Amino acid sequence: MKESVRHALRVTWARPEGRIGLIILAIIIVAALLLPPLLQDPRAQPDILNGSLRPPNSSHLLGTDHLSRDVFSRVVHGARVSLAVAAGAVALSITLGALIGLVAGYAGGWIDAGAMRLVDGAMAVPRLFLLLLIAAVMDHIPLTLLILAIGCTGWFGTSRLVRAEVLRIRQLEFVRSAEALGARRRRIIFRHLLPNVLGPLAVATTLAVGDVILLEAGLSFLGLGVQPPTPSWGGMILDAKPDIISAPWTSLAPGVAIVLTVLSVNLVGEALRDALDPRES
Amino acid sequence: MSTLLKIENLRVSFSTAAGHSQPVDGVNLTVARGETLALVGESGCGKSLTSLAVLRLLPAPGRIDEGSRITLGDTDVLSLEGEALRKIRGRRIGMVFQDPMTSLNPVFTVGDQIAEGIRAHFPVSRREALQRAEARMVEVGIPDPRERLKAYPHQLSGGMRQRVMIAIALSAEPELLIADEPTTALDVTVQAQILEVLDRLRQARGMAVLLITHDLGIVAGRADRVAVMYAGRIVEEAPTAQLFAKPSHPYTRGLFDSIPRLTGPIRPLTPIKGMVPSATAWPQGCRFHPRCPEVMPVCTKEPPIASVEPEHWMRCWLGVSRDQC
Repeated sequence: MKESVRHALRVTWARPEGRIGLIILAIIIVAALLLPPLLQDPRAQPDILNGSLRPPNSSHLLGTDHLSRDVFSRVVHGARVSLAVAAGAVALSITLGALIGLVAGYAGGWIDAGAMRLVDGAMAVPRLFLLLLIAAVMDHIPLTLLILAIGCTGWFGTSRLVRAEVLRIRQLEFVRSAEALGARRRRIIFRHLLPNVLGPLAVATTLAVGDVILLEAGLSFLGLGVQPPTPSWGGMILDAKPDIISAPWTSLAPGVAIVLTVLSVNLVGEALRDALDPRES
Repeated sequence: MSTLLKIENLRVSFSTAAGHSQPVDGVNLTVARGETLALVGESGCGKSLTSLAVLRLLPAPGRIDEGSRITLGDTDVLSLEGEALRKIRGRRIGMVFQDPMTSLNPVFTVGDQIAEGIRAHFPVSRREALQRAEARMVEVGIPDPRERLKAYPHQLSGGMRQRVMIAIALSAEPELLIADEPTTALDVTVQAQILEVLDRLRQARGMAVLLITHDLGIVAGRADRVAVMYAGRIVEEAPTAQLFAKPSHPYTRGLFDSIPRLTGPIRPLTPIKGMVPSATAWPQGCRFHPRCPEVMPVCTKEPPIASVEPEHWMRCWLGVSRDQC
């Protein structure tokens, strides 16, 4: 498995879109991990005496917001939250989706029918409404619950995708051959089917990361996601709404961060799909 | 020789919204321990489905009908379920599939794939399984087995891959090896080598082989007995030498006439006219009669089993009328 991760990275890197995506993503992740201790407290108002909404200058790379807080520091701190939510929720939803898709597709019969009817029903409910419902009941959504909620409502499409792939792959000779050999079900599912759905799964993962970052930003923009004073990209855009014309840097900075993150993840996904396709390379 | 595999009145049917078909319709076969039985027939005659039925691996929605019996040694194969069924797959019956290009998983090394069969049936460590896999590779004549263990399928030639497939089928030391068109996808020179390997293993291990093929040419000298299958049924069965000396069913004779000969006078090949009928609507009576050059009015009735000579029988009205004349 370590081998295949290295292989996937190498092939992704070999493609221009993959290389650009990896570089941007690496910068964002490294910045989110390493920069915060070097920056001002995102809640601090060091230049409050000089007024608020100052444009970018030498002491504030991206200017200050309406409370005179450093926008750059807030964007970097917001990245931590956004990336943590995205990583946690996507890991959860992809794992659930892959497992359910694999089992349903391979087992067939009533297990398959049951799982897919459940998915049909769940997909008819808008995800945002589910999250709004939780927020309404709980007043606001704690971070861990946010991750759980987004993760548990995000696997439907993935399970469909994986199931469809499994239905195709299980007809292939090598699966028949493994069955004829007396291989155990669990082994067929994880050793023969799973590696051959990794390509589509990688694409689903990157699309999901983009979705979740946008969803979290959207929730925070609605004031239901990450709560102030914890900085988040969606929350920052919400805060910056009144100043969007007079001080565009306050909304542009988190907006560009969202776009760059989602874009880079999608670029990596595009390259990764080609890299993980067992029929190539 | 004692009987290892006994198939009685095997019927396989497919029922879909589009209709009902009966691609295997009353097959009887026995394979003795240590012998090679060749099952010969055109594409679509039901020979592959017969072999898949033995392993209970029919593709959906295919099913084995009531009244069919498959016995392996003392085991009633059709009554097995779940874990008991898994334990005969690979362990007692090994299967070599036709196309070594698609029958190997592209993402694992061949060593892992041979070891898979060993670990499915014996409680051994991965290292031990790989050692045994290496021994299997030696047995099927793969040079540099230690190096090749780490090779991926796409790094091997077609012949080597088919050897790997045989090594996989052998991994759990089965009593019966079913080889479904094992050489069809290979070059002629490689075909001979693969058949050689199969024959050597059969002798060395006392294993029985059910060799499924459309090619009578590879049967000679390899099989002890031959069963000729047409349209879901066995139409003629005989020890190999007798079948070659005296092919009796018009279909069998047609098969022989379709093979170019290296000796004797040069004459045009006479292919069998028409095509195998569809399993959704078998012809009435003898299923070969619409294509048969010797068709008689009586052929629209179910043909009897007629003895040609000891151990040699066919399902044809000719056998009867010849006796009566």
